[in-house]
Amino acid sequence: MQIINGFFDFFIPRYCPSCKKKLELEENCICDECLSSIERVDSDRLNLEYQRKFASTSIISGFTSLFVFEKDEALQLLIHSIKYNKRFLNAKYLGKLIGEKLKEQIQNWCVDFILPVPLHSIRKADRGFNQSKHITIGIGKELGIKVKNNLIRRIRYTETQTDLTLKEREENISEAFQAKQERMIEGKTFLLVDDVITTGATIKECGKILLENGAVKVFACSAAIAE
Amino acid sequence: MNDFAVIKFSIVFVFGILLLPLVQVNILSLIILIILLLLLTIILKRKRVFEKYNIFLTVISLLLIISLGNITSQFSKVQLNTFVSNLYKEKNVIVSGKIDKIELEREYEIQFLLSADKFMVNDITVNDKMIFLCKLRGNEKGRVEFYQMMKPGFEIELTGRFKKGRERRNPGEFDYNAYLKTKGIEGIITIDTLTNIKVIYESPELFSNSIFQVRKYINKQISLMHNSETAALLRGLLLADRREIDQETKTQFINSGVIHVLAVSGLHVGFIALIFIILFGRFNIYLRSVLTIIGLLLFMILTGVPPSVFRATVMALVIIVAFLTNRSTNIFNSLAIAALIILIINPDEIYSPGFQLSFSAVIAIGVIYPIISRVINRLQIKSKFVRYVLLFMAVSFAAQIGTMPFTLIYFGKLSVIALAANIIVIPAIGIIISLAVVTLIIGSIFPPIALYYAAANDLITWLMLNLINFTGDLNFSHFRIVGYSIYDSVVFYFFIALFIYFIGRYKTKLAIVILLILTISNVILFSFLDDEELLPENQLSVLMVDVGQGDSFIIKFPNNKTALIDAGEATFYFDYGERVILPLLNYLGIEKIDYGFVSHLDLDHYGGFVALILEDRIGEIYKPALDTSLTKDLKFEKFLKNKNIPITYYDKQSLEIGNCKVYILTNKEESEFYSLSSNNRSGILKIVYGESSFLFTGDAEKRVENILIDNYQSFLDVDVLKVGHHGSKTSSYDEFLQYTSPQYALISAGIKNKFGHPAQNVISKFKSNNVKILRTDKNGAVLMVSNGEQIFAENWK
Repeated sequence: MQIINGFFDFFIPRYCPSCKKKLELEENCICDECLSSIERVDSDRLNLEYQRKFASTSIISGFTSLFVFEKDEALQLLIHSIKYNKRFLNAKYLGKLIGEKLKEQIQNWCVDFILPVPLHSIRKADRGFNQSKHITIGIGKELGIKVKNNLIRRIRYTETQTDLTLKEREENISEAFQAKQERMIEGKTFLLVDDVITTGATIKECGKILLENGAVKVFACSAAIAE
Repeated sequence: MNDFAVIKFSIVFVFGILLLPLVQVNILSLIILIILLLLLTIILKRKRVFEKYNIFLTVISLLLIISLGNITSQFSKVQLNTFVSNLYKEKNVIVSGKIDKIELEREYEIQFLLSADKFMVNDITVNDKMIFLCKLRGNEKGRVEFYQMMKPGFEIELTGRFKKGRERRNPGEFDYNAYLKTKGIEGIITIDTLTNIKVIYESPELFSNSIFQVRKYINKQISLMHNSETAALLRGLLLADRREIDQETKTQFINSGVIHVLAVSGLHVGFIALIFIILFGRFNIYLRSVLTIIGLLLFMILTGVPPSVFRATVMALVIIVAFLTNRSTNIFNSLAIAALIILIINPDEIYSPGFQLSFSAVIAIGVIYPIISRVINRLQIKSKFVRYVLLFMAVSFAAQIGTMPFTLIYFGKLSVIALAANIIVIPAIGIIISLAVVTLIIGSIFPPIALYYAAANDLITWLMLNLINFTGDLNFSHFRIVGYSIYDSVVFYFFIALFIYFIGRYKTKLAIVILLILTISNVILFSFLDDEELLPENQLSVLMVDVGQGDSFIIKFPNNKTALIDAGEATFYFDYGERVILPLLNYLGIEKIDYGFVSHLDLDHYGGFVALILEDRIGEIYKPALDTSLTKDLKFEKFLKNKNIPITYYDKQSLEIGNCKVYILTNKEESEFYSLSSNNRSGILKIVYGESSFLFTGDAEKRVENILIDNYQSFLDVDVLKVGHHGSKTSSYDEFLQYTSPQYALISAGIKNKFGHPAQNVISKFKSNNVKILRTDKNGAVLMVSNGEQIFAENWK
């Protein structure tokens, strides 16, 4: 396998999306140095964020995340490589990391299905794939939990939320989703996955739809949290 | 991020291949060198020398890759059978072997490749692996039957006529034989009737037969649904078979600078990929990618894998694989991989026009387009449409800059309206290809509906071809560039590279303008340095063109006026006017022949004129007085009158051209004239420049020789004699030779021609008189140049 990888590396090399150095044979998606430079979320911070984002409404029962998102740092470059350079496998790798590091916590929640925050079909056609879906696949594969893609659907095309405040985001995103297979939702526990959670508005909206359709509990998880 | 190992590897590898004609190292020593270098690498790596002195690694890698390139190139040299490749023309050869590939049918012949293991001629049998290009001609019934029944893989035995591919017989001529050799083909075998082909074993090969059947099917569908013009174009675009597109259309495409769309290339692969991406867009990533890969591979196989399609397909595959495996590539990396694969399979591709044009275009797009697009983006144009059109033009412009030296070498024309023409033609080609694909798919399910699409395609093709005809006909659309050399190309690329280097450093507008002026003036200046015309100015040149069994002489007078005495034969299969003389005129930079002399009305003398007149390359015609008993003479004169070509009959006149005198010695008032045969009515021309003189006698025989002696006596004395009637024994009698007493005798005759020209006794006559004999069958074209005092036989090779 290493030989094949080495052979491939000669013809079509792999680069670290962050520091742009060539990856070593045993490295995957991002070089070890850059990976270790990304700030991990500790449990205090996680609690704080949960209180801030989700505690006010009782939609999300539990929340976890792996990294802290900072501008112009390794993680942003990694996520950009997914979104803008179509590196869907980097998303899967992020999912794998989440599965590895947050194994206990997620397994404690005893979720039936993991599902990604859906992307509107126009944006999906533009990008070619839904990055959250590939993170989800990574987690699911690592933890052996079933991934469901088609339980909710984004029915309204929303503008990018980068420059909006919490209030505006909540308005922007409301009524954007719709449940698709209600029977599958009823009586089940879910883990919702997104790439970066900033205000939590989007993931709450998804959770709301799931609960309205009979889900027992909804947890949330992301690769990173941002201020 | 720009550290792509394979790019460097490919560049050095190419260098190794290019070195082969210059440096011949035998294979064994190369292998030993490679092994030693590998051992050295291992030892030095163990000793950790590389960590300290990186230069060692670089030098060793360079040597290693160059040797690899060189050795690949040597290994790929096809060993032709020495006996067969030394044959020129043989009547009854019997060959047996396996059919490799059958080409699409043409109106008058079917071509196929035969992998032979046995070759018999004149009781000599050769048992060896050989490839022959076979052409089945003869009656239509036989050809149709062959086309329906024969399959690649069948073992057959055939009887036919062997001929070596045409070599470079004239200045600037395409060496067809060398081209065949790079494909490993020994020669051409023509079969006159299907009964001369016996099937020994019906064993179709699954893969190549499937390809043949699909190509056949698509070809049939195309012909059924479209008019012949569209069908010919589509055959070129989808099946890479351009043989049916007529020469005139191709010329218009060249003039308009859009000839590249006729070569199936990256553009078409791009369109096909686009169609697949749209079709499979809703599938998941892996399925979508795999389907696109399969589709592209199928298209590549269907086109018969020309280098440009292979290049584009490999590049597309590299991009898809990079996407699927989380790897990085860029235009140069993908291109380098494509180059490496093509060159490992066949290093000789580096000399093929298709390879050169395709790769130079992509490199230029990669290098030059980003620079132009930066400039365009800086302009901050509001209208999206205008910006896109400009960016599109930038791509086209970049490709044209990159391919320009090759275009000039191969086509000898620089198109000025290419940029404008491409804006319309490229999207049009995209629409035509898409419509054709849709027509094909629907056509196989529900033909009546497909007819509507086909009709639409006919219309768009008609519009596009008309546009190209219009632009190609414009006087200012293009100009001829003569004698563009490899040296000129190197100069061009060197200054373009310098320009790109400096433009990265100095970014002000003024600097750009100055750099641009400097670059252009340098390119022009240095390109002129090596220009030396084959037919020099201020001298009299006579070029005996090799037109096989026939006559043709191009004459350039000291004042740059030109004359053409005869133009070779024109048959259905080969028109020397179109295929030999026209390219030669282009090569020599002769736009129009001022004086056309038809010696007499034999096909091997006047045949080639028709194509030249159709191309508007002949100013006026001198010919023997009309012979109303000859239908071809009547037809020819009617044709000339239709084309408004002034006609003058040979009759004792003299022309003053430059400082030369052309005397026409034929006297049509002579009482005997109308009782003479066609050969004997040949116009007799004497050209005098200062002290030197030439005599041209067409096919005149003994009777005329005697008339000439009676009338002109010592005036017949010349330095160069064009030997009458290709050196036949009916001409060149002793007395005539005494009167003419030439230093040089020019004989134009085909190699191993069926008439046995030139006759042995004629040759010995000249030899015993110490006349230097120059023959087209031995020397190819012969060039004589006179400065008014002396005549030299120049070596044009």
